[in-house]
Amino acid sequence: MIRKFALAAAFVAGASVPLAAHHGWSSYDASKPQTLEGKIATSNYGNPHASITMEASGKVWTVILAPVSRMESRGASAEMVAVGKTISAYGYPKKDGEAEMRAERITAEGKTVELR
Amino acid sequence: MTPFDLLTALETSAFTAEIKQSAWIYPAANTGHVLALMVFIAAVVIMDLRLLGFPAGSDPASVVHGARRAVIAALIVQVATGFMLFAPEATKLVGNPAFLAKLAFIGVGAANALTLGRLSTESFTQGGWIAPRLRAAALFSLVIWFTTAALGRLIAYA
Repeated sequence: MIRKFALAAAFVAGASVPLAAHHGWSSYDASKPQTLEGKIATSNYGNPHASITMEASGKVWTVILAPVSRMESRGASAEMVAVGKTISAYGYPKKDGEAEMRAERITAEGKTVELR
Repeated sequence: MTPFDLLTALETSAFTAEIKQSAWIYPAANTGHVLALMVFIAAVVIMDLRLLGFPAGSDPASVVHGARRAVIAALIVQVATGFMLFAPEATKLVGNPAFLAKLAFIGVGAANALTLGRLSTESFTQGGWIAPRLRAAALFSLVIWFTTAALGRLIAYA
């Protein structure tokens, strides 16, 4: 009976080993941090995480921010990332070259908010 | 209206806007989804291990019927919270391989559970002896549901 139980447990453990996954973090290149500065073109202040698009260094970047609850508790209001605002975002670009950044922190009107 | 239009309509609905903008609804749904998963898996493991013969002294019918209630209650919470997590990203998620695989596993798991339910009713009425077929279905159920849970976590990374 115990042997059966062990067998069942082993089977389950084997089946739940993750399939080839690419981690959300690892798709960004932490060795190449950069700062983008520009005007916010679109703003999505929503879950699962807020995001903005902005034109910087000749490209339209998508900047991934944080979940709404964290944005609010750290003082990054919807107003701070509203369309038309000038913002500076420090973070990591995507490894595949896509113009997308995972922002570590953002600065607007002299105020810096840590997002991680 | 194509199915994709329906997803777009869901994603841009007032219901979804509320989930996206609220500071607490999405995190609450996310936490509720995980807590319901714990109850679901616990009850599934109790049920399936009993069908596999553990613990030997207990009455299979009463263990299985008791656990089944918890499974159904947890499943209702999971479907409701899962839908709330799905709505804000509906159009993206239908192209996510981990999400699609998870749906497929839920379908297979549900079909297996229905078969298992029918077989176990037959089996219990024949004096509690658990047929090899039933044991195989119980083992399959464990594999299916643990894989489903793993796939759910992997949606964020696929």
